[in-house]
Amino acid sequence: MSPARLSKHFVTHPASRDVLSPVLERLPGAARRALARSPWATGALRDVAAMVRSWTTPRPPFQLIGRDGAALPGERRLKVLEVRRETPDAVSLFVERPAGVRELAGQFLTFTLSIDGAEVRRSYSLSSAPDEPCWRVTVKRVAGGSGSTHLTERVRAGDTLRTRGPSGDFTLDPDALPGHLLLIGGGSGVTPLFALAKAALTADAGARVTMLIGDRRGVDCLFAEEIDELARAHDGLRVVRVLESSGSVESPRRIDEADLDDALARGTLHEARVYVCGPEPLMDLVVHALGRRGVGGAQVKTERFVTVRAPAADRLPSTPVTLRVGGREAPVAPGQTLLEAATAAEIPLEFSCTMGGCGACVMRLVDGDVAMAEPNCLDDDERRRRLVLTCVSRPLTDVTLEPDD
Amino acid sequence: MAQPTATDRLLALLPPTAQNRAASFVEAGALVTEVESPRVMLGLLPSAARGFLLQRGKQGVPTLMPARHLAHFDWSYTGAQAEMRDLYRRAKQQQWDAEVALDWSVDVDPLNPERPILPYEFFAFERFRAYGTPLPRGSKEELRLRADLATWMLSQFLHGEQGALLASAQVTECVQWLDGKFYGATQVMDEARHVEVFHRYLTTKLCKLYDVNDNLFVIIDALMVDGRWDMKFLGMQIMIEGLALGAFGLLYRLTEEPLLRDLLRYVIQDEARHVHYGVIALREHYRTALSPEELRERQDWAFEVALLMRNRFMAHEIYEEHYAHLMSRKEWNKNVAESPGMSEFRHTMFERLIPNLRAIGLLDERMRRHYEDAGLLRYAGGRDASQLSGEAMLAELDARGHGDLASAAS
Ligand code: FES
Ligand SMILES: [Fe+2]
Ligand SMILES: [Fe+2]
Repeated sequence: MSPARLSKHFVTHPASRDVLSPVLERLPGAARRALARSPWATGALRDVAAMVRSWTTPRPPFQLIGRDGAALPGERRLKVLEVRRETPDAVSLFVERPAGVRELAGQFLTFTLSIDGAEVRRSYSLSSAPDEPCWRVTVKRVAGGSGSTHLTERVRAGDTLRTRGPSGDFTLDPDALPGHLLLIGGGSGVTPLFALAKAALTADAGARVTMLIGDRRGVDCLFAEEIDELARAHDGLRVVRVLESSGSVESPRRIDEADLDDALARGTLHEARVYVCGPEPLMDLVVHALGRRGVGGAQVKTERFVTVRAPAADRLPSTPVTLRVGGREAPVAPGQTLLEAATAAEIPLEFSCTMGGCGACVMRLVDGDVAMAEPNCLDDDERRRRLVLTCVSRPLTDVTLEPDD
Repeated sequence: MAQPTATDRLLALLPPTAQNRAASFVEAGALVTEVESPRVMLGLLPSAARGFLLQRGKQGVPTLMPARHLAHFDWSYTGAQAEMRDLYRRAKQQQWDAEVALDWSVDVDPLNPERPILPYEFFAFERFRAYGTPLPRGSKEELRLRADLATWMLSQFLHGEQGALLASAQVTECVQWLDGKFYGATQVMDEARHVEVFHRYLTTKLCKLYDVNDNLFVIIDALMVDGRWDMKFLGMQIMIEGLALGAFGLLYRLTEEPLLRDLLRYVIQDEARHVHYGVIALREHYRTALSPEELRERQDWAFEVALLMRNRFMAHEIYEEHYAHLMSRKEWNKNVAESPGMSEFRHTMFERLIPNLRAIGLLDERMRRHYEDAGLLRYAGGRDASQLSGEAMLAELDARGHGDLASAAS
């Protein structure tokens, strides 16, 4: 029996594998065989390994469960290089860019934050373009939002952030720029739009880009100076700001269909590609109005910032169920997501944001039933095709998955 | 603050991560000196090695325990036992479905100061001011600690319930009365339900689960591998369940969290039956079937284990999580022992336990002296499990009022 198989077979303790394997590899073949035959000896070995391990790297005397606890691979600890206050309630965190990682403009990062002893995950769009030296994430404080409050008030330069991603397909291919790039959004939705504008203008300094931005008051506008400066340097960029404060108190001025028509008039409807990111009502208005004008499908991309809500715990089974995927099985503990369970059983599944925001983890449900955290990035059509996001799906029954292709 | 001993000083020389591990070695060693009866000590030693030294309960993988009891088959279906038959009948009628009986839609926020799982007085974290961590009542940190302490207790209940599930299944195989086997089967179901509800509460409401405490592991391990059925009964039905019953009662009275309170109410009714069964099964056996020698071993064992539980159930997992960098284990122990909640906890535990030991005949003249020395004899006059039903116990708890901690005890 090879040392690798021996250690896999008998020393299933995840923590002891790395302690034992080097020892086992050095044993002569006969000793290894004798060992493999004796359950007592392998048991004792395992105990010793666990003991060694507990001295050097003790595990905490508890486990965190369910929505916040499970660890997935692929997380990076990145250092915050600088914290810059952008507006009274928004800051930009400049974060070191890990070597060899290249994002597309418009993507987002997911942070795992420890707040009052609990772990929470939050996603934030990058406001930096791919050619900037470090990542920049701009966070606007939301009243009552624990994640945004933590990031805007407590994080300091020098801290590290547990980071996943970049993820998401609210992106732009710099080699295939549209004739007219129309970026519409408001509030913190400007963040990815700013990155998209910069990326487009870097790829083609003369690109025709229109930014239609809504916000409450001038002081709340994110990146106001930087965007103005960008517009001064590029004739093709036009910036239109619609401020609530320019209307009356009873009916604040908001982006409306007339603004949209003005913006669209900079080119033909056909050559427009529209990116929308902002408050729900704005997004709905824009998407519907565009649809009425025959602009839809691949021409329009949307990105929603929402807090994902886990399904109510009482809908979930209280005992483990089984996940079948690719001919293998994994137990899913109550509260675990399909992705967490598969990962714990060393079944590799694709994923990126772990938040239901990017679609990287999509699979088809062949059998069984799941509850997905909502809202997430699946559309109605995808739901009809029984697609699920494993990162936010908790099984209601035994479940079988297959790749969607 | 407690005076450091030579061992404490030696421990302090180790790096902090190693200190905790070393401390559990020291604790294992201390067991040898704490347990007076050499026979009991030798009996516990293998389990102590597995628990304290090898930390089998804390490796993050299942523990396999070799069970060596004999299953008792009776092809003639004799062994009628009226009192057990009656318990069996009651048990069948009182079955409940945790899915339906409890309102799981209740949103539990362990940090909600309006509905704390434990009252502030339970631990009175204010006492740690001397160590440089003022934890004012109701502050976030204080609430978090209280929630963690409650989670720790409930986690130990859960592990204890799993022990009860497996042990009650073993005992159902072992007993010679057919009525006992019938009853035992209902207890297995009860314990499964207890594991279900505590597990569900911990994993879906508190979202945290603590490892088994080393001392609890040692006792569970010792019972699981002991081949003698009456030892399993004594350990599980009388000692662990008896103590748990006291603890459930206290928590039921103190908690402001409605779901937990409901849950405990149901569990207490089941548990009262279980302890009652243990008393019936052992009363007869200990009076008639044991040699004086064997009886003495049971007496010593029960006494030593009662003291172990009193002296060692000290929430060390919480200490390691929050306080290891601030104070020595010894100081922690002292603080825990003196906290009002823990004192009350011990009081209620022994109030339930000692009368049952009397009922099964483990409290003769010799043992009375021992219990007297340990300050526990004052509980000997109370009602045992055959005299106090779950309903009666709940009625008394309700009558004592809710939420206040009258720390009269110990
Ligand atoms: S990993 Fe991004 S949606 Fe699941
Ligand atoms: Fe129980
Ligand atoms: Fe029980």
